[in-house]
Amino acid sequence: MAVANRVTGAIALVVGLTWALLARGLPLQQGNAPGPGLFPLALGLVFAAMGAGLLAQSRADRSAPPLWPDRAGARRVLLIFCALAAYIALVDLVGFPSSTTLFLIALFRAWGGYRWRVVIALAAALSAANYVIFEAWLGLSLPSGSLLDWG
Amino acid sequence: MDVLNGLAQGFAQALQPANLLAAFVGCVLGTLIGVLPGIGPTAGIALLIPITAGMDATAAIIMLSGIYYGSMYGGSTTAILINTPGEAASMITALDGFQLARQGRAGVALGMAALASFIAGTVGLVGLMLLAPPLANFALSFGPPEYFALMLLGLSIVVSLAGRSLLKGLMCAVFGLLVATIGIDPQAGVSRFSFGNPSLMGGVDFISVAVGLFAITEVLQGMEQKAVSFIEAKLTGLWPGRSDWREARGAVARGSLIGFLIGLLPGAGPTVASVIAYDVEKKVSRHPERFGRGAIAGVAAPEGANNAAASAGMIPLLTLGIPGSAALAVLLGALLVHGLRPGPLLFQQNPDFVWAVIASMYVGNATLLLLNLPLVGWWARLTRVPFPILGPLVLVFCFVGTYSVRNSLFDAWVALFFGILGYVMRKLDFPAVPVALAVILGPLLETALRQTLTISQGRLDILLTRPTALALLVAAAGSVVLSLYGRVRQTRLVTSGVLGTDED
Repeated sequence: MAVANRVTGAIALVVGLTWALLARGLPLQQGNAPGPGLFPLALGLVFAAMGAGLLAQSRADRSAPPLWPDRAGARRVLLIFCALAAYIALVDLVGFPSSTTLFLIALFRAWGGYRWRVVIALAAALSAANYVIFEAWLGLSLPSGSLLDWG
Repeated sequence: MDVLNGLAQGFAQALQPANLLAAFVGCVLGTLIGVLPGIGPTAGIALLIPITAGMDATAAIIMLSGIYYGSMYGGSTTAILINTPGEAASMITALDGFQLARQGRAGVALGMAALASFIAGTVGLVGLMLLAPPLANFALSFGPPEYFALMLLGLSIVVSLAGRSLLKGLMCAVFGLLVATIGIDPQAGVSRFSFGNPSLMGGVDFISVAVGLFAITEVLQGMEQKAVSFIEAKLTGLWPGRSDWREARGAVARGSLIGFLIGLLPGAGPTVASVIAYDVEKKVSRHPERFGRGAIAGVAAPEGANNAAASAGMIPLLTLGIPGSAALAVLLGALLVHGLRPGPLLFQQNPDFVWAVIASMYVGNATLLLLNLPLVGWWARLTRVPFPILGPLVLVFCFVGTYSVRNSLFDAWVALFFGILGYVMRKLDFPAVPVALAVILGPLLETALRQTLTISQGRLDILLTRPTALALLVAAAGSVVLSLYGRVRQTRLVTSGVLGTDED
């Protein structure tokens, strides 16, 4: 864990100092009361100090390195991440029902490895159900898609 | 309003059709969330807050509380049947519960779990009723310094119990507080750390943080592993026999008491309660060697403890506005969304709301017993939904839940960010619960601190001259120091596997 802790310690140090630096730009005092900059300034400094502490601690650290997934597992995690990012980006363009269908098709197929017919039918049915429950029944307003919106 | 009067009025409200339906739906969803491994009570409540936004506040909170305590029942089902706790508080139940299932006594274990849950949940509720009003009265005298100290206590207990490294836990809490400073400052109205971006000015929504850290992280983690195989357990004889009762009744009683006391502490929560109750039971048992090999008391004690702790956790939440666990932190967020500020004033200003929620928990506990005992086989079958189907569906719910809070795609991106962050944090042994709690408490903590400094004209020693504030600070420091030594450390090691998954 020593390498990982060194990296996270350094990140925390940088983030903390940045926060403190940005907070310096805000008023620290307003009349007799503490200003909006005081609390973040203190937090930033504390966070930076903790990052430095983790860095220092990592020199004596002999604990086992973190358990990252194997290659196949890492690929699946990356797949989910990309699919989710694409989903959020797509929702804005083509709306909730179609992007949900596409998202589910992609993951059912790539992750579950089901046959295309099953995948498409299941994805379509589930997104329709989602749409009916959330939009029609519970009255949430989900994105309808800017590409499809000519009104 | 005295207790009986309040309770009577509460029941009058809780038994109205709309609230009855809310409690029922909450219990069903809670059991479902408890049963399904990919999603826990914290994410479940967070996902449903936007959906309840249009509901009446009382019905909404009744439903969300139902999810909270309902998940405690549901989690035990999968713990016993497939050795996979649906949520962390049932982890300990799996130790003996699964052994019983392998010996063909799954029915008895499930029955005992449901009954112990019911009894302990009811005990916890009686305690809640008796203890909450006087505590609220006492807390009426609290000023900003006391609130500040109290919130520090909550955070430090969470930190001292979560994860293996104290420093990492502290870093997580401070990181959450940092995140909470993004956006318009609560007092002066100045925009901070938003770089002129209007979405950032609105602040980072805690629902996105909770959904990311708990739901998305959980799905990513689940992606790594291959699907689990199930054992077909025969479900016969759900009602525990006389000898089972004799063995377990002490465990239920002790578990309820321990769970209740631990649940009162902000930060400890149901998971820790179940670990300690199991430990105690093993110590007092005449047959400690049976534990881990299918002791019925080993099911009754943790199940009793986690349900009593769940009820007890409502006490600091409702009377002081201090959530004891991640799930309760999200419930606190739900109360704020509905314009209810938990704290001592809640009992004075909205007594009918408070009592309706308490009464609904009696209704809910009875509902859960009925839902769980006869239908347990049906619930168990749900766990056979393969994760490659369930996971993507959970992600769709994550999108809907985060997007609909403010109809903002930005919130969905934030959830994705915290999902990845949570995944990496888990790998590196950083606990997620302190982050979530700090994001919610951040603005309240900062406001209390600034008011304190205004009162004292900039001197921090005001915290040391007010006895209640001082006592709370000493307790906060004590919890951190204690976590470095002795028993708490041991408990932490036992729970680290559990709290590492961060569903309390």
